[in-house]
Amino acid sequence: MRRYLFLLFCFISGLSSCVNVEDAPDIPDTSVYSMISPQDTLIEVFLAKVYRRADFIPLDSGKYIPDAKVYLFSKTDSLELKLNRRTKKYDSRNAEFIKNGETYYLKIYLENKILSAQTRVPDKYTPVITDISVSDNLATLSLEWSKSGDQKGLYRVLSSVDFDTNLLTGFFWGNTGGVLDTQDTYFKGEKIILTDGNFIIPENATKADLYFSHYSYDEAGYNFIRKLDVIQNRTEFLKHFEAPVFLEYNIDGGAIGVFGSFSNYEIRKTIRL
Amino acid sequence: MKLYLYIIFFLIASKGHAQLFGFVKDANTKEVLAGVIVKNINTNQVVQTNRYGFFSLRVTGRTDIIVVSFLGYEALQLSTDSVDRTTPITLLLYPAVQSLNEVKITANKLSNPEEPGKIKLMGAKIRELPLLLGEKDPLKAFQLLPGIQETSEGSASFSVRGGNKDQNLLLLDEAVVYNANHLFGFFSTFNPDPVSQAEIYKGAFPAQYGGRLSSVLDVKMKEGNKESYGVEGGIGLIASRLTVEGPIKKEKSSFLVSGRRTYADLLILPFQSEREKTGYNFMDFNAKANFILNPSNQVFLSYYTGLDHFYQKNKIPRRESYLLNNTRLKWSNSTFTSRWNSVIKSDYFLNLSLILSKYYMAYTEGTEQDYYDPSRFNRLKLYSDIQDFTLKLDNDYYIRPTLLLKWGTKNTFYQFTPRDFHYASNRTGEENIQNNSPIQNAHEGAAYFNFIGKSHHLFYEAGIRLSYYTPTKSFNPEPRGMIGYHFSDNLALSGAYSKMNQYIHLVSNTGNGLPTDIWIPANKTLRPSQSDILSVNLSYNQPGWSFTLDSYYKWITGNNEYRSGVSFLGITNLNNRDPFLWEDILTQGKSWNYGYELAAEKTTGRFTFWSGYTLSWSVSKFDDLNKGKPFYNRQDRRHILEFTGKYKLSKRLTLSSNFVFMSGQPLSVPDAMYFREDPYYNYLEVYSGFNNFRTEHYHRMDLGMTLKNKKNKNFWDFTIYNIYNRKNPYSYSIENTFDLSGRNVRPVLKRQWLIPILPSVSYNFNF
Repeated sequence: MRRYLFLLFCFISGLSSCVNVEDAPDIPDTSVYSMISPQDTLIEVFLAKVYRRADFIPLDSGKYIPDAKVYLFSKTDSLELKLNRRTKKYDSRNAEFIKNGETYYLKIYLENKILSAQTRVPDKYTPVITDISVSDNLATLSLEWSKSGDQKGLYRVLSSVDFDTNLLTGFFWGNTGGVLDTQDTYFKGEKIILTDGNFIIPENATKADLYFSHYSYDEAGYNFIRKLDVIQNRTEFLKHFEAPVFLEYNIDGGAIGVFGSFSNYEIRKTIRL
Repeated sequence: MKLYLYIIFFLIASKGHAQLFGFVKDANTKEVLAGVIVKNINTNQVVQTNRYGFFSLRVTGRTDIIVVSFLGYEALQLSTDSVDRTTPITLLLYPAVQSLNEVKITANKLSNPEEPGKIKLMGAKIRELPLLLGEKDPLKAFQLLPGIQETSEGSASFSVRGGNKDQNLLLLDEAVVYNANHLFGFFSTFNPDPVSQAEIYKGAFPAQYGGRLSSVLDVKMKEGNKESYGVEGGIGLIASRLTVEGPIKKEKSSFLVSGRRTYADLLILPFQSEREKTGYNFMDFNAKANFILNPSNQVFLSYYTGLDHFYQKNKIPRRESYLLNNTRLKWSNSTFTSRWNSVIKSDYFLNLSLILSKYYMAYTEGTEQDYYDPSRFNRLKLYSDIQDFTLKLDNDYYIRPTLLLKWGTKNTFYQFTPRDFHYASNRTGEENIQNNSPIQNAHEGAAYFNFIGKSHHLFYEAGIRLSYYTPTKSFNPEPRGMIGYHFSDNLALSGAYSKMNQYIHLVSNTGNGLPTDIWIPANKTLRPSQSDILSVNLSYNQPGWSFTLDSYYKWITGNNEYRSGVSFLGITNLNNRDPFLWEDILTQGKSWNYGYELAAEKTTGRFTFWSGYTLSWSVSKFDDLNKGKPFYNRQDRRHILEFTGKYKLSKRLTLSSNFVFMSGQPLSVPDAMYFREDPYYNYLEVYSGFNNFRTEHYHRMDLGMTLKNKKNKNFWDFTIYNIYNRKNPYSYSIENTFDLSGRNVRPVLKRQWLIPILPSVSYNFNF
């Protein structure tokens, strides 16, 4: 009998070969946020403390980190960003330092660590309106551009319509006519057909100005901004139906946050009514 | 087809030994009894009645003595001289008369060493347990057994050996019940009164079952008393029940109708203001009829429908008008089963079933403005349903007294309307969004063969289930096997392997909102799920006592989880396509579940109990979650201890108690926060990983007392749920508190708890 029980014990023990689950990593105490663009006149980096549950968080501006050395490097040049006491951010004027298609390296020296990150600014491109039509309160237009190099092609379009009334109304949604179908303002691809199903022309209006802000992102920036949009669009009610958002970070050396880049193009089209 | 023809030929051409065959029934109600032991004393051969009460036993040409025994009933002994062996016989068992003085009170044992992984609860046993608000719920009863845990506080949904709640096949008279929850999960759809018995398989699955990965819960309704009319019911705090049964034609046919409804909404209605009305109710209706056409043929018809209805109306005064808000959530299951049982030959029993089942969920929310501008509105509608039609054939062929072949086929035709979503508004300009997933049809077919046999000390099952699913053109063989050995009369050891496939997936609400469930078919992207389950069972039995030790290892592929940040309603999703595609919000991965279960049971004496301890692990790995690293999943509770006891103080008074302890379960909770772009606004929550936090332990004790009247028919049932008022964790949220200076804020994790100490009383009658 003892032999059988011993064999049984061995068999049962053999079944439970464990799967290794690593402990969750410690959360760093520092955060970084910076999105750079050739079209921006200012380069900004916000450096702040990370607060764990049950930490006391000051209600005033005491969350930023004031005593860091912040540098931005390109392959050929470098720039030091200084703390702006008013905005609490490290900044510098962008005198054509940021260029399309270039890779930039962020280096932050803190008392006990050095943080680093990099981003490749999306290539230059020109979105153009290739088709436009208005009928029965429905406006439709096509935006096209060309992608260059090996960039991912991650875009966002924001829009508005301005009639003679000078009141901004309406907005365009992407629909399935594009290269990739999407219903929100983010998409991947080089063409999108946008529609405004609420294109109600006011009485006596003679023209409509259509404004489009077209953004092209690097991957880290795109992923971060999209998830951020999800968080910010949540309402108390919708929270009950939604899974938590896990943000992705690209800062090395002991910090969370994102260092990303984008290119921005403003397009305006006037149509006579 | 050729295989079937061969089997039919084999059956027809088979041998002609003398057989004693027929049905075993309760002498008082004439209801068939499943699992009854029928033993030929002369040959020492033993068979069990199948789920329809049928048995077939070989007898010698001489006079054989047959003993029929079933716990809770007086044993029956008969001689083969006295019975006709050419037609099915009916053996009647009388319920045992229990006497306290003799201390011979005997309860049915939960498990049988020759069927490891299966636990059986009789309806009467379920009705004795002290459960939430006095509602005797079969699903809650099973949650008090090792390896089966509730998914959240008070919920009827359960997880078996680390599986998700949708991996349990819930059957009511063979029909699938797709959503077994009432009152947001606090009660199940199984009204206890019409339940005859309930069995759960958590491993060693027989080949006739398939379609889910982790368990099969098979609930059988009573057939109705063929001898006399009876009424049974109960009046409780939250709901009342009434069951009527009786013969349609004495001994030939019977009926049973049973209903249950809550009246919480009616009770609180007078106390609600004109401005805000919230209500909830649920109802169940069961009906069954059965007809004995002749000794060899019977027909059964059974029907169930249940409905949950939650509503909330707000009338918010505005300066010159009212704003009306309406929220409504309904969900409903309906099933219909028609069965034909036929004894084709003395050793061949056939069951043919035609089954229909439907589940739907409808959620509407809207704001209307009346008086000045009644045309203004804001409406959201979400509708989902699943319907199936099943044709099932089950055959039991007794090749030898010690070898039974079960074989059959099952064909299920599904129609899914996974998501019919409409959002309309004219508040901020005309908007009308329809974002639906298309109606889909699917066919799931299966054929199975299962040999159940015994040879001296050895017992075994060897089977295969061949399943087919049209949308993915999947053809999957599912081998099943179990082999065991009786070392002595008391000690048995067995090992089992089962492969299971699941072709439909459940999508449940992602957050803590309304308990909305949607079933979707597997497709080429959201692949069918598969599990491989290996288990070992050691069983030790003494008169009145039994002990079992189980060890299991379950691999699952094709487990579903939500992607980061997605919405169940699909409003703010990262990837909303039209038509809506579930694969945009779900991702698939693997899981490993393993552990040990130790159970002890005492079935005789004034004091009876069962108790279980589970030590288990449940780990998942998804490429798209937790950076592809393994993490403990929601079902991972390291230690679970359960105890259910009953003490019969006198003939009229019984005391009972439950105790449950479960270690905390993993949950995704923010560990930290930071300010993104400026020092004042735009703060973001940080998670160190998926399911990074473990909740506090769960434990509670319930007490019950049953006081019968002098005729022992009617009784009062008193229950106190959570006697020491433990504030068990239900959910967690981050709340900000200020320090004394008012200059600092402190985010702290707050535990929300749900059910405090909750006494209840119900009066139950039976005449």
